[in-house]
Amino acid sequence: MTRRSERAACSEYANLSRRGFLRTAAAGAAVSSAMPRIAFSASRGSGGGTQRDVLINVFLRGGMDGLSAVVPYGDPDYASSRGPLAIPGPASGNGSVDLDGTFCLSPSAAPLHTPYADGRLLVVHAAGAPIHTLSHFDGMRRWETATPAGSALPLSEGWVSRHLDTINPLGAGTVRALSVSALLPWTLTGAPGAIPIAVPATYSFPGETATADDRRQVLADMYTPQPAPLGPAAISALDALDQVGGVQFFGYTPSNGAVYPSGPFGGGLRSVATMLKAGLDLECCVVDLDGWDHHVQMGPMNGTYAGMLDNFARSLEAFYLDLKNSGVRYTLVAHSEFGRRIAPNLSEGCDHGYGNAMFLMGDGIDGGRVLTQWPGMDPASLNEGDLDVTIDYRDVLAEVAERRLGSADAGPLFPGHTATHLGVTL
Amino acid sequence: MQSQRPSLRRPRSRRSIIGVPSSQSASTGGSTPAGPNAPAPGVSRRPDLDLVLAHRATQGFTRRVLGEIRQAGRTAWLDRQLNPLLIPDPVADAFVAGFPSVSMSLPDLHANYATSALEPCEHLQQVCVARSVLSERQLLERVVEFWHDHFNVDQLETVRGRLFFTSYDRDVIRQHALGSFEDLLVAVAKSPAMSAYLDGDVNIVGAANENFGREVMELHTLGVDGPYTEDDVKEISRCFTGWRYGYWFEANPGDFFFDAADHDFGPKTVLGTQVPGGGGVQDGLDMLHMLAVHPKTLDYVSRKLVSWLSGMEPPQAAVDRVIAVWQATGGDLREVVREALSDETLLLCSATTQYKLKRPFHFGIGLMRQLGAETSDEFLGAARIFELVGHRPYVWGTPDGYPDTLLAWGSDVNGRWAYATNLLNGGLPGLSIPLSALTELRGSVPNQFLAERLAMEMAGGLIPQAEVDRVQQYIGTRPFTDQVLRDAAALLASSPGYQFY
Repeated sequence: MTRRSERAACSEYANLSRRGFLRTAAAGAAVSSAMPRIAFSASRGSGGGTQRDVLINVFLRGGMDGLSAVVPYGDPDYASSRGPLAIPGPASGNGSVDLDGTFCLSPSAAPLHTPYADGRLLVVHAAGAPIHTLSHFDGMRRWETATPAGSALPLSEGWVSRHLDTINPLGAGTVRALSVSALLPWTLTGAPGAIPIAVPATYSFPGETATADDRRQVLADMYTPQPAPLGPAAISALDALDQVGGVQFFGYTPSNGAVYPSGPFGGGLRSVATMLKAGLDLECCVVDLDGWDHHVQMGPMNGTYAGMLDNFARSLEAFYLDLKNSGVRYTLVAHSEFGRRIAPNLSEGCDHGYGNAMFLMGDGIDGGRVLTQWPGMDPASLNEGDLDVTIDYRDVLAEVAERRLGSADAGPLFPGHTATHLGVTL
Repeated sequence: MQSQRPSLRRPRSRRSIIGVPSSQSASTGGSTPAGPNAPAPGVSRRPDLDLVLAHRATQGFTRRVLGEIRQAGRTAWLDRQLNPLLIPDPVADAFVAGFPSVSMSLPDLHANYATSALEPCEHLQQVCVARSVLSERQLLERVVEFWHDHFNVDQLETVRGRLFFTSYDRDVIRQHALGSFEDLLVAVAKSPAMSAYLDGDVNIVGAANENFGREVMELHTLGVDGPYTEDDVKEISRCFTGWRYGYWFEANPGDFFFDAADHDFGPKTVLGTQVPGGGGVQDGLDMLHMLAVHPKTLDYVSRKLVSWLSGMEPPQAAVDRVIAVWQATGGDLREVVREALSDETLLLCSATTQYKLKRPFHFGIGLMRQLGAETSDEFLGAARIFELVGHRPYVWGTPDGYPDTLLAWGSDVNGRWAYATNLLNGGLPGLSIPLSALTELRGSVPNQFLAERLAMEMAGGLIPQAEVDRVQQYIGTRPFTDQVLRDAAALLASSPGYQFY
């Protein structure tokens, strides 16, 4: 933590001087606070110099049942072990979309076939964390902080925080990561230049426009000498007010006929796409989709779960179409803290499980397939009644970090783990 | 989940309320406070414990409370606050009386709101805001907030649990907030709200659900590094099989009900203690007793309570004082809280304690209290708008409750700036700050001392002089209008110093 504080202090002062420069430049021009004072760089646009993707992290919180999204209908034990909640394969004519003769997208997941058919969506199945935990928030926190197996306590900073700490910023460094939420998720806790913004489209400096510049200056003067976290947070906020506040969210027309579902998740991805296309130098965006804890009446075909999965799948499809051929380089990773138990409980739901599907999407993803070392679903192959984990999520993320996010060495991001590349990226 | 331990560096230019030797702030080389209250360099200043109490024992500082403490003396003021039912509370009572659902029995709630359970949920959020702003029983509200987080139930998490939350707040948390810890623990474990939230109602023999069994040890008693194993989680969960509540179609709906048919009567072993077979409901009660008096529980919960009331990262000596009272009184929370706010404990904490960052709810409630906010919608908008800063009452999703750390809440400052500025300018739904309230606050002070005066009213001297001066400079560089008065209050509320307490 000491090292982090020193680092934070250093970047704080670097930012300060930059801030001062911007202020000086803006002072003579009497620029309204409503007007962005940042010239967006083209570093991620087509033909730009920096070959790095922005990471879009979607945490499906609550234990999303990947088995009902990417259905192992070809596994001889699937239908019997899932019982009444089993989803029939494509031959049933229920709208499931076959992927490879073993797995299919369930009807509500069918929109994911658009990027899949283009070879840009990869499913990594029977993946998960090295610790079989049944606690949501312990599982989430250990996942997000990449806490080593066997370690008593979760680490206090996120794996993306460590990544951003070890790599030069794409832009000025004040707004490197953005979470569409009121609080930062653990993935970004302690990260340099990370900021939570619940509703990017309305992110603005409050109060009367006429006095906005003067009031901003008062705040800048008061906050810039402050230590972490408030000082750097204020510096990030003041720059984000220019950057995010300068993006035209209203009237934005998605490309390629993309239609985002209404609601916070689709809206969040839409905002992210809008900001990336506007040229913001973001290195990570987090958009979470909560509420997958379906212990009771899961409804994988027509019920609660199916509706949520439809929202998820259509949102990803829209994001894919919207950014297709835009020149924006991104890798999207969607996952949950664990899967759900194979056998349903007495309430037509499923309790907490283990192995699960992860979704990777982007032009740099070797998609159009299901990558798995399928453990099988016969009783002898299960891990305490759950689908086993045969792919460590850290291997997936480490490869993404090194091959897509510009990390020279992902080792420090995942302490205690020696990562193996599985070929998830091109 | 108490392992979040950011290394707190002391803000350099903050004026001390709690005994920071001024040599420390001087040695950082930052802008040392230069105001009239700043200590002389190199001289350790005795903390103003009246001011500490006014900030830490309330839902938001006010000059009136500080005056009460100064007049009555800390011991007497604390004693009065620790007996909240003896404090007349007509304004808050009248407000609460406007929400009949808050006092309804579970059958009545079901009769009135079976198909609209969100209504009583929202009523309770409004009442939560109202009590925090208006109640004379400020310490009770502060302790109630602590226990709601400690025994967190997300009000909206389960549909079947929503109607239970009104009873959870009233009959469990408030009923026992200053009572016996074991009674509180048992009431929580037997409550339909917690049962629905952590799946106690589906925890049955042969298919034990470990949700509650895990959290009762990890979060409610021993703490995450407590001496329990995964096997203990499984075994204690078996002890609670058959613990459910009466369903709506049964007699006594919502009341605790032990369903012997669903109970695992086999022998169990938890934390090395043998639970003989055939025990029934007593299995779970024995477990709760064992956990309630376990030394790790006393240590974990005392430390958390001292962190909440007295300052982050308290020294062991301060925690030990509270543990000693806990032991001596068998977990009498009134006495435990009294000790946590005693002069001795506060002084011990002052040696190591940093300022605490106000959580957004505390920040917003404090502003409403200090600035005389008025509501046109019975605090409905006020409750809802806390969502934007991530701190709407009762809706933290995971069982660990809203965090109370610098790390968790320190990354969004514009949310606070917007809250304060919009509140002052009538931009928050249903809330307004009447000009008359602001002019009353400033009194007859001349414009050149306006920022100083407002800062004292809003924070009692906690905002560093340099920040007050900067706001005064803003005031001084433009013609004085009512809007400048509002801007000044909003800027002070947005200042770094105001975020701490």
